[in-house]
Amino acid sequence: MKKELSPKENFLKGILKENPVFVLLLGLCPTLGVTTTAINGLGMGLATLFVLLMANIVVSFFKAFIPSKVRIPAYIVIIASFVTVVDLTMAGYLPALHEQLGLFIPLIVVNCLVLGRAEAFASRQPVMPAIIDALGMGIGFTFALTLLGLVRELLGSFSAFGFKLIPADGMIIFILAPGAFIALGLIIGFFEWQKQRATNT
Amino acid sequence: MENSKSGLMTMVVALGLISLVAAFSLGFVYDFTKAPIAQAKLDKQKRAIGIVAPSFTNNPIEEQIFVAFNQNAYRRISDTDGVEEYFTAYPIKDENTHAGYAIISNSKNGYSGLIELMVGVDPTGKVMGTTILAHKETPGLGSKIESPDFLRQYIDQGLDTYSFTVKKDGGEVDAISGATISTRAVNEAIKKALEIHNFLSDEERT
Repeated sequence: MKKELSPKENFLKGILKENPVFVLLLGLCPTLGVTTTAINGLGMGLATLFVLLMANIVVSFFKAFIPSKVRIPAYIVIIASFVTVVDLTMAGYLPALHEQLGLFIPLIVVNCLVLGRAEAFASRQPVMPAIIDALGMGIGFTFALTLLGLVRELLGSFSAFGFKLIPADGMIIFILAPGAFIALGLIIGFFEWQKQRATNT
Repeated sequence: MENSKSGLMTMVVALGLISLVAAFSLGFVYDFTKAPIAQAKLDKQKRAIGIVAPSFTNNPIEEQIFVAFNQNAYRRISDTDGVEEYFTAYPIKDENTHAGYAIISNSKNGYSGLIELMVGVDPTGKVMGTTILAHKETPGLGSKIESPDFLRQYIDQGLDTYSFTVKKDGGEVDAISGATISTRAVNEAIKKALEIHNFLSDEERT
């Protein structure tokens, strides 16, 4: 870390300036895979937020204890444990959402975002900044997935959060995999455009 | 953080301890969520039976029957341990008279893997209702097999009157546009359920 971030900057960086999906382009597998509806995006985002938060806390707390040569396997064990906790808890208490997200919950383990934050941030920072970092990044990720899900749902099935807006079929391409790339590209383009406009004026 | 001196032992112990703690906590969570997960599964089956059978007074889940399929024949089994492929049938009774079965059937020929569904079959071998239990079809296309509007066309159809093939293949089923493969898989699964029903009622008669 070149300069110390204030807690507020630390929190906000994950939401816009270093948004994991739109700027860092981390964790794109679940991003593209589950965001067929806004609700799915939100559920996946919150599940990832929880894992990210717990992993960051534990990694930051035990960073002195984990030998640096085996830190990656150690992080994977920690992350995988929390993912299993989420998986089992969701299956028990939110079966409908669990069915929708299906395969993607176990895949949080290999989400580069979680490992990336553990490695790049939590392993060299005290617990408090690690919590703030996880919250910022997690909320940024949730925001990105919900937005992408909403765009795809609006265009692909003309509905928002499950409510049908226009009684027609929608552009199916946006629900299929290619539409995920197109929608993500358009959103990233929009954010870049906004950023350039802000720096030019 | 930078402890380059850390020998093999330190690494083994650290990693071992982390894994141990993880294993214990997961064991605890597993125990804790076991009952709710089982309950959620049971609720799902109960809801499904409610959809495919109009009325029943017994508890179909308690009376479940397992049917295995091997060597081109169906066979009742009492234990599913070690049986790879089996189907579950729930007897439906209305005021103690037999009113058919709710049968869980499947097809491996979906567009992306297994489609599992439940079919309610009345004692004459006609479909009372169908509901999709699990599938991985394309969202927005094949996923429309879940829609009650699509599944309604199977109601009151039996093996003797209906071929369960899509119109494209010379049959009478209206396929979902853009999802003929998914529709064929649903046809296959429903057909299988009706065959299981015929097997069970043949067996009762003998």
